[in-house]
Amino acid sequence: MNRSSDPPGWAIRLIARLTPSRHQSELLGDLQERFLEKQEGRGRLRACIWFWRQTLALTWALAVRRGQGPTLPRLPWYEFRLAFRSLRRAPALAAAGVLALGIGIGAPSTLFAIVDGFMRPLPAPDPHRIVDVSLLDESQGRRLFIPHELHLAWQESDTGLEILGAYWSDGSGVSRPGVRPLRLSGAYITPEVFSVLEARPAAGRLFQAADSLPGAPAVAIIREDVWGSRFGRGDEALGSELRINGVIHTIVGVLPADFAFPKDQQVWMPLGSQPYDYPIPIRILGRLGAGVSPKVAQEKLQSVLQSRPWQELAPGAPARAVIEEYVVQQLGRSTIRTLRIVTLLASLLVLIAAMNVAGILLARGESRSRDLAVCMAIGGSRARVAGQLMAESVLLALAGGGLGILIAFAGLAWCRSTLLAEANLSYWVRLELGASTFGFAALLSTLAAAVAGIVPSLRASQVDLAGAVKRDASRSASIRMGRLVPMVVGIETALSCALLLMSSLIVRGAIEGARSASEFPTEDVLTARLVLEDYDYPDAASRRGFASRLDESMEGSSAVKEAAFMSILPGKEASSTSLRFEDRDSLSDADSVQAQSRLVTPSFFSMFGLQLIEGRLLDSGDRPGRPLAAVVNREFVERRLQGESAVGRRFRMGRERQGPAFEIVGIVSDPGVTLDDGKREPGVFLAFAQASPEVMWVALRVSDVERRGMPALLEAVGQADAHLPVGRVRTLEQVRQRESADERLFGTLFGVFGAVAMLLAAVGLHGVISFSVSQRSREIGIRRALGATSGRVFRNTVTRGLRPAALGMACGIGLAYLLSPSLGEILYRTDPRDPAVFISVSLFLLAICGVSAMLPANRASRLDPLKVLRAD
Amino acid sequence: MPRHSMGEFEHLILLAVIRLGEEAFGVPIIREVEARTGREVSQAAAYLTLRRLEEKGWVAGRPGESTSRRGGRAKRYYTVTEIGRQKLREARNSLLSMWTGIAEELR
Repeated sequence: MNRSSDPPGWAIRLIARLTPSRHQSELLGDLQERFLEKQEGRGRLRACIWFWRQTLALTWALAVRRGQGPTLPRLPWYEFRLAFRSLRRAPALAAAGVLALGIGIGAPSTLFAIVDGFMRPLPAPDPHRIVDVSLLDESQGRRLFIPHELHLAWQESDTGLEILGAYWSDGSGVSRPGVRPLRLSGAYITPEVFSVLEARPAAGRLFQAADSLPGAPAVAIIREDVWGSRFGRGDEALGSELRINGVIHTIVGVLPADFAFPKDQQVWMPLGSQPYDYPIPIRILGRLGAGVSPKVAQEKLQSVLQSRPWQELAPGAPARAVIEEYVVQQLGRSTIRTLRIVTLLASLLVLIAAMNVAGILLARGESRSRDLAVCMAIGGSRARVAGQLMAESVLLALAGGGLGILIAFAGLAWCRSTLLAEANLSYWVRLELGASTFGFAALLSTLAAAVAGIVPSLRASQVDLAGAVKRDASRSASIRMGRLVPMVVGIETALSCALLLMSSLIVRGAIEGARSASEFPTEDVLTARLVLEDYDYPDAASRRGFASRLDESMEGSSAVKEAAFMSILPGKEASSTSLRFEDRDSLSDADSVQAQSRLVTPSFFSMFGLQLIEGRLLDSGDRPGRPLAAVVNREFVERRLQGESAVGRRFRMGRERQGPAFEIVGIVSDPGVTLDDGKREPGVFLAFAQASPEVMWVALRVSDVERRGMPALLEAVGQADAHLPVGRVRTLEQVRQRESADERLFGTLFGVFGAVAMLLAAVGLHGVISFSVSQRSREIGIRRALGATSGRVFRNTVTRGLRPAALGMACGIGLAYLLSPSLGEILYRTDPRDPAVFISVSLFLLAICGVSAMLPANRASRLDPLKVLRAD
Repeated sequence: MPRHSMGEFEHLILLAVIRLGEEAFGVPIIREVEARTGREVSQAAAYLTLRRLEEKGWVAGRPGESTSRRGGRAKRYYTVTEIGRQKLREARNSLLSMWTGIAEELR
């Protein structure tokens, strides 16, 4: 039977649970018959709605009314009605409370939704059983290559893993006659990987075992969107040929657009059909057998590993097989831990908001203490009065939770369209509000209701009856506030302080991260990566030929104003190389110096604003056959040569004594990458033409880069080599934004959190402290009447108001001091106990508390003692 | 309320079962009441009422055949017992006697 015509399964299960089995078939059969009738007449949606209505009516009748199922507690509707009425009488206060809770619930929920989105399981059946199998060298904590034979041995033994597949992902140059070549992300994959993931082709077929045999005809599978964009979804795609990484492949299948294993792949080739003359770092994917624990499988893999020596492994390396759930392995355990801590931290915001609401309710309870006292005097129990205040906080938390969901929805949409628009997300990531986020928001709402309601409820049940009824409650302390108000002040200060400190640290880290991105001019610069694969460019001469052809066609283009080639883009960290000076004749490590080396063409310097300080820049004379030239930056001279003269000195790369020597011909100022300690990295620039690397980056300055950049680039590359795919085409600005996407995401989110927390804390502290001071106006009146000066009263009031706040701040600072090291890698280049952050945040909070205490204290000190006392 | 009084909905269901004769199981019973009274009948109400009538002994149920349209689940056919018929007659008589003389007034 077609599943989609069945009634909702959950409803059926619910009914089956509630009805005695001897009547089930009658009831469910009748329901299904009527359901089908409705579905045929009015469509599935309305039929489903009808079915659920019937189910709920049945549940109600069977479980609740007849008491066959669990009995539900009677809802205190009366209290809620009263609470609603009382909140409606104070709309401004209610709105403030809902807003505070909405923000306090919405902001952490947004973060939760993002973290949850990143940790979604793979879109495959039983995703938690899909695991990554890796080999670790425990002594150094690094991954080892998995030899092909080991993979086979694992596959053949009983390891508790049902299927084991191998894959290897790589950028793939794809071209087709007559169509612009391009670089896609591709992966070499064994057929088992598709079985692990239970992938189904959208057209054609998947790989079979025969496709992976050495010498098998080269076949490929493309993704549905590539099929659409390159073939217009035409049937002729299957069987047509694509040149991938220099080899002609026949397309045999199309995978659906939502499949992109391992990360964001668009094209797949069978692993094993092409010979490799070097070990490739394959990764292994497996499916845990039902009921097999990862630990057991890990032990079985390990025993296969130890059964014989594997020559390819590093000799003597203590290799250990490790199994981790695929998504967990991809994100990394430490990242997941950090994300969890950050979410937890953000949840503190709801406590601050709840304390604010508690303050509001407390103040209201105070002004209403007469109502409450009357209520109790005519026989209302204390529980009844407390219940009513509790109901108010529950109502506020419900509304706040709803608002919070809306805020999370908007926040997520905003993150998607701005912060994550350029990010390179894995295919299982889903940034949308899921059931778990709703659950999280509900949890926060419950927490908020409890925290906001308990304090005022407790206090209200301590109403001093006679006093409250007798006195004008609005002006005097008719209720023993005891320690409650100072407690609220203290807790709120502690929470605000901890959250503010941590979010300031995160924001500081993000600013550091953004600053570390270099200061090169990025306007109008388009960049792209070209890979001169050895099947087309077997030697340096052929690569040099390509570079000069490309240079000529760039020069000939009217749109291109400037162009430069380099081994790595400016502002990106280059690999560190050790250099050894000829005049320091020793091979000890102490005498070699480290520097980032880059290959650049002469135009690089003018294009990115590197100023000559001494000597000369690289020029067109630095070509093969001429002495090897190098230009160093000022940091190199200062930090590696301790300011000694540099020009004219000669060095060699690495440890060689006989290798080619480079001569330093000039010194430049370099707005390049900065190091962890905030200092610039010593850098060496070598002549591009004297090395001709296989991977090259091109940068071209084009006016109106958005519109004219891409065509100009493609035309120029096409003239130099019609088959060469152009990869990673981005403006330099986009490159920069992608680089710092994580820092910007967390930095911006926590910037917002910090601002919100600051606002909530300021408003809340002000409210509670000024309330606690105004509580004492009667006492102050008496003191004044007894002769205290207004200055003395002022000082006394401020000190007493600030005492709990100061205690709270001390706790908050201690909390942050303990917790901040766990923020880990988010704190980019920032000391988790950065004194500047701790001091400035503490001063800020102190100022807020001070002002909050001073304003009402000032008012109190000016009170006319007569008026205050007469109010009795 | 005494145990053996008849509610209005029970009354309707009993009449529907008699009208349907051999074909009286859940779905047609509901359809009959809905068609003749114009009100919507929920499955819960029909199911619970039939249970109650069966407990009182006014109707008798027997399992019937299953069809694929019911997801392979068996039907349950109902007939009104002699006690049920007796109760219906009593109810009709009391209603008629209550109506006597005022039918004109309410026209």
